[in-house]
Amino acid sequence: MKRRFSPYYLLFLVGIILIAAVFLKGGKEERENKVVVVVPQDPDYLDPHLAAAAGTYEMMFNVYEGLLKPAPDGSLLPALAERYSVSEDGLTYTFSLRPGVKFHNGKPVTAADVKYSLERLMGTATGQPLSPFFTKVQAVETAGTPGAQKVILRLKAPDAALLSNLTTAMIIPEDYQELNTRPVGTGPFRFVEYRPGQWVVLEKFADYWQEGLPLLDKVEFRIIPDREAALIALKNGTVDIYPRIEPGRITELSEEFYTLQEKQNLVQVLALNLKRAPFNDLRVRQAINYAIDKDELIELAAFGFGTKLGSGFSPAMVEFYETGLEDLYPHNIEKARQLLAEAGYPQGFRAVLSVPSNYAFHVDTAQIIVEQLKKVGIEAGIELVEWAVWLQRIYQGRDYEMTITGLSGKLDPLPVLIRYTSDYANNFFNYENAEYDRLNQLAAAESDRGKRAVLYKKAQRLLAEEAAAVFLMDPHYLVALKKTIAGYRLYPIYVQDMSTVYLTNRGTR
Amino acid sequence: MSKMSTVQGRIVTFLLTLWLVSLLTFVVFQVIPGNPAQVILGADALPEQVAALEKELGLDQPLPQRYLHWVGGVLRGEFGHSLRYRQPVRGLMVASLKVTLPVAGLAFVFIVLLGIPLGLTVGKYHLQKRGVMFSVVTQLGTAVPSFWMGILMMLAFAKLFRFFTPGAFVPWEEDWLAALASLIPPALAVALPKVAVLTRYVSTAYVEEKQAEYIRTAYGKGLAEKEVLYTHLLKNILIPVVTVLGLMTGDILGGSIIVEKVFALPGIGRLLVEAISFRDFPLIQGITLYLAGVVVFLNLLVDFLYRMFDPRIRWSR
Repeated sequence: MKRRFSPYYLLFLVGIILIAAVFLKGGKEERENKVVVVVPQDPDYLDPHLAAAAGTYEMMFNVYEGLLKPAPDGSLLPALAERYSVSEDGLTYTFSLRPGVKFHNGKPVTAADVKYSLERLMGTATGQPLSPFFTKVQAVETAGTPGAQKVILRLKAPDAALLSNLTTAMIIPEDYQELNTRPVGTGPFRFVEYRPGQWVVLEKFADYWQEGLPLLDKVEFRIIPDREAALIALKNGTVDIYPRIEPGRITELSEEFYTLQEKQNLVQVLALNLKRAPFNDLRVRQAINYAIDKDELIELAAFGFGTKLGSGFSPAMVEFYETGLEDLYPHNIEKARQLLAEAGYPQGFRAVLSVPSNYAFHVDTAQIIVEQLKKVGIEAGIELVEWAVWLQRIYQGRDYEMTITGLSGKLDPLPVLIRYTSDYANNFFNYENAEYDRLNQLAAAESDRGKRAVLYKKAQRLLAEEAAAVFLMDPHYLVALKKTIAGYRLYPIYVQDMSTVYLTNRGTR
Repeated sequence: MSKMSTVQGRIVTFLLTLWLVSLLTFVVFQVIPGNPAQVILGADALPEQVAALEKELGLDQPLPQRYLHWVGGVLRGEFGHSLRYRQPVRGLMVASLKVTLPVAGLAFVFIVLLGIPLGLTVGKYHLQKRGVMFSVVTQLGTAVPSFWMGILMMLAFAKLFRFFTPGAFVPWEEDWLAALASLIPPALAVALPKVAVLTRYVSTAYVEEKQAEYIRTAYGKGLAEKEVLYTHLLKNILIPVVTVLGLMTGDILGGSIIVEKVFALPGIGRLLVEAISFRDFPLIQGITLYLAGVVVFLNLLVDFLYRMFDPRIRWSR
């Protein structure tokens, strides 16, 4: 016979390849002192002064630090500044640098580095500020002796949010040019590698100024945009920590995992375009507020993991939070119908509810809201819009009727409540109220925290009474972790603090 | 027409197609809304920050100028820089093709290795119980889209066997065996529906050819059954097989793009999806150009293969 070749051997071959693959892959157990955190997106910039995306900040929080650093309870901790003092008039801030702090490249942090970093953000040399937060700073000066260095900020006008803004003013080495490819900071972890679409890897910085920290040798942020894939990666052990897991999925997790939850300082809001009829009528807005059952919403969309809101502020920032507003418009269909009738819509009306399609949570919320509005005669049609379109047409262009989004909280009430002031560029609510603007201006200039709180509470009440929007809930931040991981701390801002995280099954602690 | 001019004509068509594709993508993405700078910086960015980034990315330049600039770059072999990743488009594409091409290649191997033998079996037992059973199964297979197959495979591999890890693609330079292993489930997900299609083609061709006169002649010569089948018959089946495989390869590339999303593989499909959602024009242009190029090139290749397998088909003279 010439050819004894049979195509059936091919089948056999495939079988062998598969079996070999299973063997090759199996039995590879690593016992590294390392944690893998799944994140949904790539960083925008590695240079901390250029980065604006929250997804970048949550990772690079471990690499860069400012003069001050946020604590898990939202208060401010001294970081590169050991102490600071503020003058009586609130115009001079003096920071004493912590001695002996080193950058990841081994160089000590000097007052000149701090001055350089702040002036880079302020755009002193270029005329183009990289950050909008330091416009009130007149000058940055250095003082003191090499052993006890000081940095002095002189302000044009008092700025109550300056200290919390300084937590985002990352200190970088003077004249270092490779920040965007090889970041150098002072944080507990140093940058190792970034592969687009794959991962950001960090390793322990041995010379970190906080004694004994960090506890891990390595941290990897694995980029998996697909939530289903991220969940599977957690379940089969590739990933150790899954932040922002969908509340509906946690029942699927086995005994090997646990979850933590906390209010995430986010305001989920149903925005109504106040420049458009019928939303320019207060009675219509109040009617919608009465029509929406927030408790049901939290139960159905967030599986109970949410806190009811009444204004554009989350109780996560308890010091500045005006309580009681969440019950200003209790669920009441009769009242809603009556208000609609008074406004001239006894039969209700039709409206388009535009929702960013990439946020499943907002889409779920929208579907429930549509049902709730139907009961008072309002026929809302859902329009799914791509995120890029949402940002351009709805957020910037303010071309919409109703939309749902989440407004993230900050360490200070100023950037949260400024969103509704009439001259704010991204005030897509089209809310305009002179009294509200005045309260915000007063609060921004007030350096006494107690007095500021009073002003901001008044502002929140005003937003609620004017029904500037329907403030739905603060959906809780939920994180799923392997049981072998401990020390994870929750923050009222978007960060993954890995410095205190450790593995319990290593026995070295 | 001479043989040369036909080849030249094909190359001109090839280039023309690519140019049209690039023009079309460019125009489409100018029409649909979305500002790359705004998407990159997120909702909290202030207009000044967005404007600064727009300027830096060159988005403030007029459209025709941007397109000409891009075409000029391509002619010099440069695809520009990604807006999103701040890296050369070429480097990003090479990195992701290291994932996508092996998946497509592996899928192709699976399709051939599984499809042809299965097709022959179905053909052999045509109209018998076994054959009917097989064709029901393959009918089902053709109806299953690859992304759904992907989800099934992922459940099977990741949950039951804990063998596959989504997003855990091991770089080739680190451990090429592990890299290969991690690509097998997605490749299977792409391949299985196609295997069913190929099986049907092969079995139909088998049944038809079996009645051809040359087969009777071969038997008449006193050749053994196996020899008749595997040397004479198989050769003649190759023409429809090559046609189908050629058509499939474009599909395989498309199929792996969807499957990459399901398996969270950092391949060119995921890169394209990201690029689109960020309105990253240079990257979108680079990838579509590449994909169009591959498909057009494969069609060309199939034409050439015909002529190899069937001496009767010649370049028109």
